[in-house]
Amino acid sequence: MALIIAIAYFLLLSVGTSLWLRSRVKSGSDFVTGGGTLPWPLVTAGFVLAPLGSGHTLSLWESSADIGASVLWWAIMSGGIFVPLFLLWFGPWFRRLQVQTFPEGMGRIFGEKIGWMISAVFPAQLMGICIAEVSATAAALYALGGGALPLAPHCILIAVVLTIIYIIAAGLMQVAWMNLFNATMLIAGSFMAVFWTGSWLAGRGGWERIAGFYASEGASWKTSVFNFSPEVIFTLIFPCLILTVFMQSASQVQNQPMLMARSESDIRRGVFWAALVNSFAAYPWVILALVGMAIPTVAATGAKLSVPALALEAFPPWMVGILMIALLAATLSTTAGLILASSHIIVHDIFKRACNPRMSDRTFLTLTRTMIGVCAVLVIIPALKLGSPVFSIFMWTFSFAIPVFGVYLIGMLWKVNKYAAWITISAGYLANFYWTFASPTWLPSYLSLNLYPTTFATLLFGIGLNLILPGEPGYLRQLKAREAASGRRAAEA
Amino acid sequence: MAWPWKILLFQFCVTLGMAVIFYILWRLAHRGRSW
Repeated sequence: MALIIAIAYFLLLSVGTSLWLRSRVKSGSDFVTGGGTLPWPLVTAGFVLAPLGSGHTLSLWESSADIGASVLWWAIMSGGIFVPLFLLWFGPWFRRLQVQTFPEGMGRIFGEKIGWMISAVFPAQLMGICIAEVSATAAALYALGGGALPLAPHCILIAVVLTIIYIIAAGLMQVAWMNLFNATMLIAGSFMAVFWTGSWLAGRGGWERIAGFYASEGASWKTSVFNFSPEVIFTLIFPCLILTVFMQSASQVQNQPMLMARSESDIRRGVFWAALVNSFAAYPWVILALVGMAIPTVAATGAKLSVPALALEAFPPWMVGILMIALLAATLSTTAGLILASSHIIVHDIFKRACNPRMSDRTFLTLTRTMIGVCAVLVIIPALKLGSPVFSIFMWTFSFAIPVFGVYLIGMLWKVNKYAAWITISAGYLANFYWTFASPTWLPSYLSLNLYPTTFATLLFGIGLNLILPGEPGYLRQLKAREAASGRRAAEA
Repeated sequence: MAWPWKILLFQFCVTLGMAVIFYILWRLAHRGRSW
């Protein structure tokens, strides 16, 4: 029944928004930019659900079995630092570049060739994350559905079909409207599950029984966010800061919703809502997992299945359905955003700008829709093999954006030097490949994440080379100078 | 207050507090610009 409720909800929402918005999307540009006319609630919704995938839900609840409620620092840092930085600074900067994709923006600052190189790398990076998200969606369908459908291929195929209908009719505008409903369902549905768990526990010793269980195990720190072990600091807090600020800020999935805003003000105005939604989205899953792992029959299923197992034991079927909608709202919105962003970069940057600059708008729209289907197929094959989200895939693919955003930040704020940019990105990529496939065994596990050497190489080469080499002023200063010059010319005229 | 609600309150205050700090920084860096 839960499976039927969840699939019916997403089918109704997708078909409804498709029929309603289809006539509003009149061009290929409308499809990928949302027309640039949307007010702040839709911009906020389009932006806020994009980074909230399995990383904020499934990964955190799984990690909470080892490091307790401190995993919530990931959500706190992401909501309290990344979201304000992006909506107040990075998002408006992207709009000022007057480009459609992040690689195109890099090309505008550092030259076309660097833009094309990033256009070739980023879709692969986004698809890597997408594979993990599809696997997580399929795992949610399988586990919360009580194993009613086989994981592969049935749940994976359903996950991919639900992803395609999330975007195929109206592109980014559809994502914005769907996300507005789904953000509400994600927060309301998952918090409802926590309240339900509270009342379910009331006759079984209450929340204190859970705290008592962990205390008796000598792990009372698991019900507190103040466990600052090296593991928490080096595998959670620092990675979150680096990945959200440096990776997500360079991601087309995050930057694309900025294109649909009516104005820069419409990007900024949702900052407090976005910060809270981003932070709170992780909370219910972690609490449910901590409760689950304190109940022997649930804990026996393992950390990854703790939330579905608790839901199947404690909730009525309709409540399991609502919880499934909440979880799928997180993972499907991210997967849909990733596939749309990948298709946009491939068609706009490679097919149009590099191969056929005179491409008609109609061809652009048809190609973008076709590419959504192609990307979906490309995701299915490894997802069928993968079975479940793999942390190392996240870390490897995420790290590809770190040197790119480091170079972008230096170029926007400080200095533009093409050679420094090429060398810094190449050094970052080399460090990422080396550390992923030949990770040193002499380091403690919490220091062996590939994002550390990638970030180190980015800082070393990015700062070092720009200190030595000459260059043009930072791009924001260049833009300001151009605006001032055009203002002077207008005044003289 | 039970432990989940203490965590929720803490998370709310820290997240919103950091967002407010960034908002103030933006206001200071962009004096005169409309929100």
